[in-house]
Amino acid sequence: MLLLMSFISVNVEYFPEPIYPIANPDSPIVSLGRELFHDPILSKDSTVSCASCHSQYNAFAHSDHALSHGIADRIGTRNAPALVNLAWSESFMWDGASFSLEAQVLTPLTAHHEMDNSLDTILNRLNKHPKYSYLVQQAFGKSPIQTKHVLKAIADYESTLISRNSRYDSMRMHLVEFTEQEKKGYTLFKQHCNRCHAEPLFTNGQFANNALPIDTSLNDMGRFRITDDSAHIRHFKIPTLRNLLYSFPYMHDGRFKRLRDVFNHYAKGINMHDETRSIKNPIPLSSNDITDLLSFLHALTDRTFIFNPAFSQIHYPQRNQ
Amino acid sequence: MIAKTPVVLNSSIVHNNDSIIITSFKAYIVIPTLTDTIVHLLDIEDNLSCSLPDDAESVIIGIDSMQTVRTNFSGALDPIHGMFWTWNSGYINVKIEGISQRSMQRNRIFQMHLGGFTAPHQESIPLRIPRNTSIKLSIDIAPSIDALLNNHQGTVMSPGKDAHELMHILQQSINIEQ
Repeated sequence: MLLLMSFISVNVEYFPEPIYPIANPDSPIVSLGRELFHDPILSKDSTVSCASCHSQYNAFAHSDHALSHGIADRIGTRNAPALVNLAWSESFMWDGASFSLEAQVLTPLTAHHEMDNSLDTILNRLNKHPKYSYLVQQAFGKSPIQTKHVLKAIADYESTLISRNSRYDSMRMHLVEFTEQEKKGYTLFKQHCNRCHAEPLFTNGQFANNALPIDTSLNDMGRFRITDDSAHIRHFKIPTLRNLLYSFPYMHDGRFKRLRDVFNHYAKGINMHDETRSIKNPIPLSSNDITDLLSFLHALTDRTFIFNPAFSQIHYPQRNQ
Repeated sequence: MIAKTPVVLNSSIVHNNDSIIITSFKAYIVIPTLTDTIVHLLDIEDNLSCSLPDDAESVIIGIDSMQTVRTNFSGALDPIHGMFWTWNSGYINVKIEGISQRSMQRNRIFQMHLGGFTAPHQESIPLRIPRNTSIKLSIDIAPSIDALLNNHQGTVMSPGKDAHELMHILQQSINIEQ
């Protein structure tokens, strides 16, 4: 059987080439991944899906929870990051533990404080489920479903979660012109923020210690746990700023509820005693500067992404009893 | 082998005034050939032998960086075999678990999960082998278990300098026989 693999190209000239091939949103593999992403069948007690902590209306982050929780209200140690433009990322998770989109899928499926499931159980459940037998047959032309199918389907679905239709993007494509306040904010952004939150992805994909006061209840060492390199103590992945009005709360531990808290941290909250910090000095930001920056950051909101029906859970019509 | 005694699953072996029981032994064996790379997962519960192509000149214990990032997550490389770290991507190259009276862990268990695919902790062991012949690879796991119990409280389950030390000891304990 011929398996047709189709990928879409990204023809936005100010965007770099993606690292992960972007799947065709209409492909049956993406449909399978979309279904799996929203299905609590993946968790041990069938209560939590990927979408529980990565909800579309929060830019695929976890609303209103500083630390995300999995099954049985088990609370983890980090804030679920927003899933956006993942095809441009070389590593995944706050500490970069996962080297590919497929490998990343394994982490929440098996982590104790997330879905706490085993691959054996997941595959058994899916292979007994008529819906998945059909979807897997459509996607891969064969059954039973195997680990690689689950990983590929969810990864391909995630690759389609592309946000590049914000007011900022319209400005880059010369379709609109920024207001004076947005222009001021953009200038300040390029001066103070762009080195790490680099345009147009609004992350440079690297890891940094932004000198937050240490939370001794978590004592999260960040990327150090992965690399065993003391220079990486409290280094975390630099998150994208796209759709950040929707992806609150902020920071790897979700400690800030409001963007103004974030600005206050950079302006006057830097932990100058942290020797592995990547930011050497506070950023001098006046109240007016913060207002201008907020105006610019609003322009990173992409409502066509937040409300794109192609990303959301598929609701099947109920059969009459 | 533990010292000179062949290991039998779940059977007690006397070593260093200790009684050691091996409850799990798994290892990846990778065989590069001119045309292909063959991956076997050897498991003491299943089979500790694998076929060797005639043109094979080397075997590698463990999954190296290139193979890790290129994995298709199927066959021997399916994470369902419990040989893939999900909290820190990468394969466990060698897994040895058992019970020792010297272990400080609960129920006297010890766990040695050795792996790592990124610098500076890349932990695969390349071995040159003679062509066109069958070989027997014997590994004395006693020195590494001793080091695990004496220096690491009976548990090493992540990449890093501890895993590197134990992998090095394993490497020194390999004997290739024709």
